[in-house]
Amino acid sequence: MITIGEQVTRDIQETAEVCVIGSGAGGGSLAAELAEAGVEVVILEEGGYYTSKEFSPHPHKAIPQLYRDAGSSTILGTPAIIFSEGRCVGGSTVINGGMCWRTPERVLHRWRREFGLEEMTPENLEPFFAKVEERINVAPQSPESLGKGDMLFKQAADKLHWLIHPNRRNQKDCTGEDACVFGCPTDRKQSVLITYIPRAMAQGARLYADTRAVKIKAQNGRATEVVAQVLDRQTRKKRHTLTVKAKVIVLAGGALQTPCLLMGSGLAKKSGQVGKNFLCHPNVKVVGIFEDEVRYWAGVHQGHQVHEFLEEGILMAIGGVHPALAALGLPQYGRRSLELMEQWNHMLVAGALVDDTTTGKIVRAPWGQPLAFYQVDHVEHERLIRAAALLCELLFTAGAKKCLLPFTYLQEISGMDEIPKIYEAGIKLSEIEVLTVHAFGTTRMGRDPRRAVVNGFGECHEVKNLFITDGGIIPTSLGVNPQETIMALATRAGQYLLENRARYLG
Amino acid sequence: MAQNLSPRVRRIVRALIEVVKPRKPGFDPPVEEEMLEFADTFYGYFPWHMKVGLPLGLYLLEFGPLIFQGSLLPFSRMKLENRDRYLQGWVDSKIGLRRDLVKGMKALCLPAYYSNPEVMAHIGFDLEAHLRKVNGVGQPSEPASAEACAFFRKQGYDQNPRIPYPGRDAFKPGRQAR
Ligand SMILES: Cc1cc2nc3c(=O)[nH]c(=O)nc-3n(C[C@H](O)[C@H](O)[C@H](O)COP(=O)(O)OP(=O)(O)OC[C@H]3O[C@@H](n4cnc5c(N)ncnc54)[C@H](O)[C@@H]3O)c2cc1C
Repeated sequence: MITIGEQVTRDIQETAEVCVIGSGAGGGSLAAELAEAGVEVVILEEGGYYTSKEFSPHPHKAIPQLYRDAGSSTILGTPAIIFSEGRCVGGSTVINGGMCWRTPERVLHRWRREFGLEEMTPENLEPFFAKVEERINVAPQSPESLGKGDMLFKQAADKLHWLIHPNRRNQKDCTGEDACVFGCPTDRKQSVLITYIPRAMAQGARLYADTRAVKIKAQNGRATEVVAQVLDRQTRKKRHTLTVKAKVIVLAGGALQTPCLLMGSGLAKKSGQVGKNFLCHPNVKVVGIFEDEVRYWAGVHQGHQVHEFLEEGILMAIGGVHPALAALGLPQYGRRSLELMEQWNHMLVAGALVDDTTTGKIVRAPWGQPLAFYQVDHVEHERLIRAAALLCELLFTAGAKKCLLPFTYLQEISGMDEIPKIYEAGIKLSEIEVLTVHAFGTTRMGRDPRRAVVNGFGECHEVKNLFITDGGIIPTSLGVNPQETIMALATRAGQYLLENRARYLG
Repeated sequence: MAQNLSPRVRRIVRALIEVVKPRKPGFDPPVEEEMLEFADTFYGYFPWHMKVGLPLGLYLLEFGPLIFQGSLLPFSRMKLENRDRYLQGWVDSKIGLRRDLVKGMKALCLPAYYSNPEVMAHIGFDLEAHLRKVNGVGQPSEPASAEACAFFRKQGYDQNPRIPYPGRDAFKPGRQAR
């Protein structure tokens, strides 16, 4: 049963075997695993409950509805990084691009070597990936769903002999509407909202939307109760209090909110790692302008990924961006903005994410919200510049006549022979437009309680019945999109809880 | 009508909209009020530190002429072309914070402009028609791009056993059709 904020008319006290905070990739998947095994689960979700009937393909409606802080979050540093995450039932999976990749083997190797997570082998994780892929229907795209942008991207990569893969995405019969980031209007993207959440509900789980957990109470080293505020959806002011007493409490509010909640509750302090080690896959975008029409938005976005430079920490894809957001990424305003955007159907927006080589941190501000800090280091600085140059190479090979760059002063180049300018311009960090939609590391897992907040099953080293299953537990940069890793780790945590049911829930 | 911004800040935002609003001779839809309303609503969702920071940034813009140019005329009282020149100075500024503030201010104003149906039609972004086409509303569904579809078919992309083929006939009707 899903209860939305306005249906709550008084303070409520709930009890459950397991209380899950957050209904996104990590929370929703774990809740469903447990509920299907007969565990009594209560889910608290700060965001609203919206179905596809209420989604809008227009950003001025969709963003305030589905994105935290209406997409205005910023990671502080030079440059400031624009960051987006979901706040709704289903979490960021409702608004994400749907790309699904298993954790690369080299990353698992690092987890084993650096964090003592011996059990994190491809063989051990295989059944969890397989289960997630089945649950959210991970599959390649059909030719009908792909657009001309992807065709140009693929042709160019082939011409350059770069390694390019069709993306695996969680979708069923996707037609290429390209509205993923504002919520799929036809439910073809298999987000947590329409996969795991209905499964959990069918087994009697109870979900409170518009309900923000504000404190976890603990006694004698055990978490006992979650205190939450039922919010008014419009004003976001507290209407009522909801408390949930549970035998196990699971934090899955995402890599920014979860450490903030832990700090506010004074829990898991000993390791000194809560909120540290923040990783975010900084991204840059380049816009190619073509002689002929591309209409790249007519077709699913990110049908392919270039993996040629993964070893160098660079992953490339076509971005699916609404013109309103594309215009924001360009330095122009007024008439010049319009003149550029009149070429919208000739544009192709390509993006690259780079592997983190440094870490940032999350601080709990006095007003109770997380503040994220991340200072791009010199390796990432070079990578971002190289990534932009490589994107230009790809776009010019695809036939672009001009590339608009994410740099303050070097704003465009007009041909392959001008690419060296990107390296030679001495572009400073403060002059690069960087964004991201990924966040990890802030409650990282590892065997050593002095270096990690949770163990390999997501259980807090310090508070034994407190689990974390969101992106925060990923201890290193992944170099690929994270949702499948998060869901697989959450599924594994769920299985661990079920295997030890007597200990935790008995 | 949202009233999250104070009347003073609204006045600065209105003056800002006059400058950043994309327009040219022959195309200038009256979207100003929509942009202002969006800015006001959007601001209401900001986290606390940005709720404080944005008006400060706007005041800096408003009284910046005094600091940066020694002029007593605040931004909102300047002539449009002077306001434009002054804002361009912020865009090109060596100070990253000023550039970042302009980005934030654009984010406040531009989404409503480029989401306006007249503007979307002007730049050729007919999303509704695309959605109707791929979902087969009132007609048989079509591939997102016939050219790309033929290309990827040739590359053997329809060999995926998880998707029923022949593809488009198997597509279920879209939301509008349902
Ligand atoms: C625009 C966009 C595109 C993306 N594209 C891709 C992609 O193509 N492929 C991919 O793999 N990944 C993608 N990602 C990233 C991916 O979606 C996230 O990494 C993943 O969903 C994170 O999972 P999570 O469980 O950590 O958090 P989320 O999925 O964000 O879920 C956290 C939930 O917890 C809720 N919450 C937070 N705090 C509280 C609280 N105190 N009380 C109650 N509820 C709370 C939040 O409202 C939210 O709904 C994208 C993300 C975005 C924003």
